[in-house]
Amino acid sequence: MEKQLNQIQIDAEKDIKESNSLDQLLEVEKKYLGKKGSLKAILSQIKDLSIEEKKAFGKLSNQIKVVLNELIFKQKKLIEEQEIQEQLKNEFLDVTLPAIQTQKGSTHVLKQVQKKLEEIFISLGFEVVDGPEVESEKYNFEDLNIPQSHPARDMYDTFFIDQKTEKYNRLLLRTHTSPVQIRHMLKQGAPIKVLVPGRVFRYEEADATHEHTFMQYEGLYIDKDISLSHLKGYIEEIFGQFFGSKIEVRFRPGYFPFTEPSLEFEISCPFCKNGCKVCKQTKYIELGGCGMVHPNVLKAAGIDPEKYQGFAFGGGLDRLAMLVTQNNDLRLFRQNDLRFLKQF
Amino acid sequence: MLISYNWIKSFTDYKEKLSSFEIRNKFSWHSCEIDEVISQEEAFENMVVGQILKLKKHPDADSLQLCDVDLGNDIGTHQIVCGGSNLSEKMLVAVAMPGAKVRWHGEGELIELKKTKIRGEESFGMICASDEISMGESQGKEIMDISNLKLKAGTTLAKAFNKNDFVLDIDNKTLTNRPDLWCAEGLARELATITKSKFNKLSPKDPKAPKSGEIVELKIENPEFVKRFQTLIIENLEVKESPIEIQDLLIKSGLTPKNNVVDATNYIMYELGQPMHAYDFEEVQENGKVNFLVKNANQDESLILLGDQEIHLTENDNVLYIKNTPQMLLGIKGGLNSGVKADTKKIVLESAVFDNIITRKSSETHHIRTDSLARYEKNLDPENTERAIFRFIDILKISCPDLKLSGPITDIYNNKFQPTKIKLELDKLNSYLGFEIDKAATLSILKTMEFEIEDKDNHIIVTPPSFRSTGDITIYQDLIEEIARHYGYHNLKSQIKKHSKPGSNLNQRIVEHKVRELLSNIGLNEVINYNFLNEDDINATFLNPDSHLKLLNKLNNDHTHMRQTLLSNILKNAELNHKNFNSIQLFEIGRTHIKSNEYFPIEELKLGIIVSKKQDNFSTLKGIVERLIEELNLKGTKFEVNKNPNPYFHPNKSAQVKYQGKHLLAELGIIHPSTQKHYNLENQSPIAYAEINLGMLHELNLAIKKFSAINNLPKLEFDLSIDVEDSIFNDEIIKVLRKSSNLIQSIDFVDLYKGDNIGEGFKSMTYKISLQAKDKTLDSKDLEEVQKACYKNLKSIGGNVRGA
Repeated sequence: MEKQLNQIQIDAEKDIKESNSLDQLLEVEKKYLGKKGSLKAILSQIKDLSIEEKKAFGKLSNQIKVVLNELIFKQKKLIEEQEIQEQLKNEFLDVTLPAIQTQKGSTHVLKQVQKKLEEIFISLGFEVVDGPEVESEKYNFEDLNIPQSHPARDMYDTFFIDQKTEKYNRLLLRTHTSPVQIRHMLKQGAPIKVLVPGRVFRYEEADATHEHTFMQYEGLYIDKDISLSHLKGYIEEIFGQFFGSKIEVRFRPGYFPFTEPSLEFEISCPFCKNGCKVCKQTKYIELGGCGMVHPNVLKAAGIDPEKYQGFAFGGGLDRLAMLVTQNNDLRLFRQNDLRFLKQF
Repeated sequence: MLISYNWIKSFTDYKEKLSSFEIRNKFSWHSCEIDEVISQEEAFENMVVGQILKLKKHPDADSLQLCDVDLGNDIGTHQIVCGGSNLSEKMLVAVAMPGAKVRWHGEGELIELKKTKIRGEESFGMICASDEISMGESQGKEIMDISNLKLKAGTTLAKAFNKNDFVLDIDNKTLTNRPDLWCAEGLARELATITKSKFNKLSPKDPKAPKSGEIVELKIENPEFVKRFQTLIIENLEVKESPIEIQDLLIKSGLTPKNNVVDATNYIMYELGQPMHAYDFEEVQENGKVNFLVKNANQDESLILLGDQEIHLTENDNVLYIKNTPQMLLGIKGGLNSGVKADTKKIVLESAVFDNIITRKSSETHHIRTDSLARYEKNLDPENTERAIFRFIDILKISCPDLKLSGPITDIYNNKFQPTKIKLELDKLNSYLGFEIDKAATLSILKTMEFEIEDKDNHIIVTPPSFRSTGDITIYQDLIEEIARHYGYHNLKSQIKKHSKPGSNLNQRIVEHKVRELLSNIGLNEVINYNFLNEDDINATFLNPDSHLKLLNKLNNDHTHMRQTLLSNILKNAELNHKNFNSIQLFEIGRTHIKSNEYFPIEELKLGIIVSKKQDNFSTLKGIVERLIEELNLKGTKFEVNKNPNPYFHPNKSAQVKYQGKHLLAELGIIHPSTQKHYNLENQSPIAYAEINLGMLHELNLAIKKFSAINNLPKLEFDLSIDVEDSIFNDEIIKVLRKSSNLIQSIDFVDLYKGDNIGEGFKSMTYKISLQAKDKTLDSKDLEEVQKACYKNLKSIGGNVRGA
């Protein structure tokens, strides 16, 4: 009996191992462990055995059942694994077919540049502020130390609106973001540390490099001890972060009625080391104007210039956008052609 | 302004030879911006004197010869092919070698020469005709014979022709506050300071005018205009060509030489910065006497200026009257009749300084800009007028050695220069710079710039010279600029301050950026339009032109008013883009302006959204607006039918959103068909537009939301269809359903159907209604009760529930 059982185990193990499909395995399982299987068949002989023998036989046949079941389980896994492998081999997806598009939207690249600048300034402790686009001659010019008929007015071709009062003089479209300096200083006093990004207007025909409507940014920092060296430090830090590379700043003397000293600033070209198309081979890029806020401006805004001093610097946000997008035609920014807008 | 560099340099003892790049940097880094430095030498690069050694016939062309040309020891002898008609052996010629830029036959653009073969024969550049190297007219096919210069072969042409000057093209904008820099002498003072060399100020000798004799009777009615007015009568003149050196310098400054007298006035203007005018004595005298009257012009009187320009004077113009007629727009331009002529023998010379603002205003009125005005408006130094007269006589004497002064100089000096003292604390200087500057360097800079200094311990007292005292240098900050720029801005050390307060953005800007991010994420494209539109746009949107701000000065007829709605310009964007795209969803965040009773107009931040697709424009737009409200976490908003929409909406197809009770947050709807047609969009499906008052959202609730409990009890659902009149809106039905039972958890619109079996003017609306209780599981009895209540309530609005 024991021998027979052992033989069943040997045969069954062999059959299991040789099964290479689930159907075959099921047959094998039936053959040995099924209701009419060989293990059941041998059990019919048990009645002739002694109690001891019955016990021993029962134990052995159970052991064999467990072993075989485990083997079948393992073989089943193995076959399934093989079948999946086989299936994978013959299945394909053409991943080079075009995708089902998600709706393409976009924010305007000028606004992306504005937001990036705002984030950098905020990280350096600046407060973002703004003022009206339709502005008074008083805030746009007079309080900024640009009296009427001063030759410096030539730097700002201005759109006027038919309105005038004694206090504010003529109504106009702001030619720069600087009137916001005045408004904010009047409101808040010193110390002050603000960024003004905003839309400005010049009475000037539009072409590839000129616009009558464009965006400026302007940083202003007034405290008891702010110096030209701070001006240099902040410009370096801000544009280093903006262009994502270490830059060097260079100053030239300039002239603006609202700063004294007045300077123009340029930065080392963030796109090259030895000259490129963007910097016109000069290795430097002119970015804007800056200086120490003129005492007359501080006075107009109710701040004592003997106690406080500080810098202002600014430039064209459109120009920054032209640099980062390497677009040489300013007009594209406001033509609103979706073929342009969707690129950003 | 264009000006000769060698002229500037001649006022200093600076000897170093600089390249055009270095010259530009010297000025640009310390004084004023140079747009371009035009080098004469560079124009003659790769050009040398050559001597023709041997001439041979070209084997393949009758008109050409082969010349063996000696180009000096360094370059050697080369063959050059040439068609010149006057070639001869031993002749010295101007040779342009490969790399040189010449003007082919004196015409067209400059062309760079290359080593080439002409009809099979090697040619090492070319032998030039005069016009090919801008040295004057050529005669027929003759090349330039320079044998008379008697120079060695190999001498550079720049040296041969003495072309070693540079012309500086200075950016006038950077001279706005520097009247002293509008001339060679002023720029020389800067150059000397920059290069730490000596500045040789020009000191023309007093010509010692006779104590008595002929003078101008000068009467000034408007002393606020005239700071100083000097005149002198000069006789025994001969009008002729100026000396070539003077003509040369004027040409470099872009002027056309006229005659010795006029050229001398211009020469002084560019040398000392003082504009002058010479009048023909015969034209201005009356019975041998000259009477000048300076006064405000008589309104509407006319004056013909040099160049035949007639202007109509106003009371704000300041004019020189001679013999009761206006003869000169003072400080700006001379009259046609009183100027120097070919036969002038005697002149009246004017050297004056006028009020800068008054002069500028007058030029603004007539839109006239001249060299003289460019200087006067910067506010000139009245101490300079007499030096200018002295120098004028020196210059004129070169061509008219026998000239005679007819009498003393007339001098009316209303506004005598008073030196001022400015105190500069060294601590303040260092605090502005951010580092401690060497005191000796400071003093040396100021001294070269002709500032007088009293050196106290911790401060200095500075007296600026007269030519820096007309508004340019008035406060100590001006001195700091002088010191800083000459010391060099490259010496500044970068510094950043640790900040005590965190930075922040405007609440409104945070809203703006959030909206931008959301709308772009759900497929909309942002546009940026001008604030401008015109009256046609305003009419097309049925708004009132009178309530719009109007530009006083317009650039063109498309941009005459300030927008009150973003719609017009967005429709233009749609028109443009429908050429390439069928489906368009755009948004713009921008400001609008409305006239108000106050000085400042009402300026509002608006968000405009347009949806122009084949279908579902309104429902798409409504979805966008709802999503926006949800994402911005706005509490207390209410969508309503818009009974009184803005006129650019279809009167029966618009909604509004109220915020916190009564504020109008947004209007949305189908735009008026006429408006749509105006922008050539009539072939598109009715376009939907929303305008949202973004400026109203000052503060956003950006906190993370609070949790509300999730109800896990089972839901019961039933569908309900109701036939109603078209005029009954969804809103109303939902309202009725809602109040039927508080077990109703949601009512979802499923379908709107119109068809034959419904009846004209009616529609069938289907809803899915979900019921859920908070505290128990609902059964069929609950469902039936709710259904009954719904049916009953719907009857009250005339609805006929199907299957009820």
